[in-house]
Amino acid sequence: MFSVIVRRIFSMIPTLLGLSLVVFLIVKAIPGDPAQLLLGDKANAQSLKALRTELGLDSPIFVQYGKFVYRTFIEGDLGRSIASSEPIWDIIKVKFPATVELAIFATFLAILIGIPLGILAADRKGSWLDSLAISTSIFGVSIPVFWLGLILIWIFGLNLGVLPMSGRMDIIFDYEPITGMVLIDSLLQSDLELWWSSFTHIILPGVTLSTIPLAFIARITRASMLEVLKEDYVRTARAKGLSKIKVVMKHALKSALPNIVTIVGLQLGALLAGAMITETVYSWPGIGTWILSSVHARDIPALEAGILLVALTYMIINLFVDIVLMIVDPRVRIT
Amino acid sequence: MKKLYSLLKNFHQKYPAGFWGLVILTLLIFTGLFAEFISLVDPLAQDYTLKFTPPLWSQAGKWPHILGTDVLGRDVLSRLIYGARLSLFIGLFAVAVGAIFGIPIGLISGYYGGKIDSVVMRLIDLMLAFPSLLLAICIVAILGPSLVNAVIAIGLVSIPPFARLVRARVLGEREKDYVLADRAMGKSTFSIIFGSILQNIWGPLLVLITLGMGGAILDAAGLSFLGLGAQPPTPEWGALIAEGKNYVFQAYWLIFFPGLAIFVTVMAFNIFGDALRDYADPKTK
Repeated sequence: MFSVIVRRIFSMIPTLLGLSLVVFLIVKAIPGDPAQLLLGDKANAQSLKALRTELGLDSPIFVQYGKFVYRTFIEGDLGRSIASSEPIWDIIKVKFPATVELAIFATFLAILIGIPLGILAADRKGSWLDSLAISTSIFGVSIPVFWLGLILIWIFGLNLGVLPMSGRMDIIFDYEPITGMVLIDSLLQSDLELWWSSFTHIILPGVTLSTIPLAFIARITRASMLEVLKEDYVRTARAKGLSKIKVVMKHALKSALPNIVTIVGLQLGALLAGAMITETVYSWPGIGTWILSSVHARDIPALEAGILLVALTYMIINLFVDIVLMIVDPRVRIT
Repeated sequence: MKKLYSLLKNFHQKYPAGFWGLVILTLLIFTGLFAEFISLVDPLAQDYTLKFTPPLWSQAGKWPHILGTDVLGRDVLSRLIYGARLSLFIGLFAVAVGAIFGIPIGLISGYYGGKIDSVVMRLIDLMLAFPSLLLAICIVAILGPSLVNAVIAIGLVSIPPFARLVRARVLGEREKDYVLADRAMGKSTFSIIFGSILQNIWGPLLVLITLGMGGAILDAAGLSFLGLGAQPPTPEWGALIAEGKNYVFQAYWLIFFPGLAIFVTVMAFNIFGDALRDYADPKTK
């Protein structure tokens, strides 16, 4: 199994090069001259030309791409943001954990509700629980996330006033990041008040973000459980007189697990990127809002790094899913 | 006519939810086509004296503003009705872009196999390596924010699903007897691929088209909400919410009704598409 994993990791290198090429070309295609953006509208032609030479913008495009790959992957230098002139690494260090925290929270919620709902629905096909699971999965993929977010803010933040409407924590706290994830850091610093503040802040965006993965997880769990429950060995297990819980949880769920793992992984990857809309609604200071503001500000270096980061994360999660699949599903190991 | 009636009756009996999806979609198409006749007020007409009129059922409501007015005194219901037309346009156009590129790519890639196939599939996989919303945002960043560009972006991002579905189906079809018969009869490869084979895989494609239209409307609304799609004063539903979100404190109706319109429409596409899938292939139910 180990050699398969190693091979899988090495097979990522061409994909990575393809990915970086796509990102490079996208960013090149975005209108706007980086030199002009850096120097502002009033810059004279001479200094513009000098900066273009300095940035390597007047060399042939494949040379620029080569430099981009070398700079990004070998030197690990992402440059500076045009909008805030901070090093991009420093921005990522703050923003990325915020998005990861939100995405993981939402995924946990989706798993916690979606998997039991899917199992129960399949076990009692045609019951009200089944109808609930089916409507949940249709609602989840049909509801506009930004609308749900605004409605939740309107109900819980504005009318009931029980939950905060935006941000990650109350501004009174003096937060020193360790991992950058407030929920974890506050526990590490045993600051329970901070933990509570960040917990109440993450509930609404977490619930909002979890709707789509919840829909998919419930749907896939139900479908694959239905398939497995029809199998002969499940009937045999039942005939042997095993308790129903044991048959469903041990025999059936084990075979349905690969499908569920795949969908959870895909959804987590999509969340890390799809958090853009939810982050905007709740002013969550994460990667999504950063990429969006970079689009609006034409902050080319920030955009380049942001897109690459999201695509890379997506790729690494897929790799991780493949490895977990090899562990839970022996059939995958051979190929 | 009688045949259509019995077909609908049959569909209603087997798939009640899907049937209601179809009813809602029919209403939506009707609304979109006859927006001029249905709406009571000009959707762009402003009247500051009517600013933030609440819906008719609240005390301060004023006829004919059934769902109230916005910050410029524009009628919310009329804007929603014209938005229905835009949504249909968005769904059709985005899916058309995805299908026009995706279907031939999948047909050719699946039929010829070999080198063409592996190159094409590599490219498709590369596109799938990016989350679709991010890719759509990148395309909009290149083309510039507007409704048309947002729709083009969503269409381009939907090429891979079309190409993959068609390719998978073609792989199952190309060794079948009718294809061999076509070949023996000396039909051109073009007419085999775009005639016989396409005809035989039309069912699952129709399902993807239906579901894709719902998805496109949802994504376009999302892009408009982020300020990358329809620009004011276009009454696109997502743009209406983006405009209304600043006034959520005083006028809930500015975001509630447009969102409901998106939700109901997308849900109608989804349940109709699901029913269509089960109808075409009862095994998956």
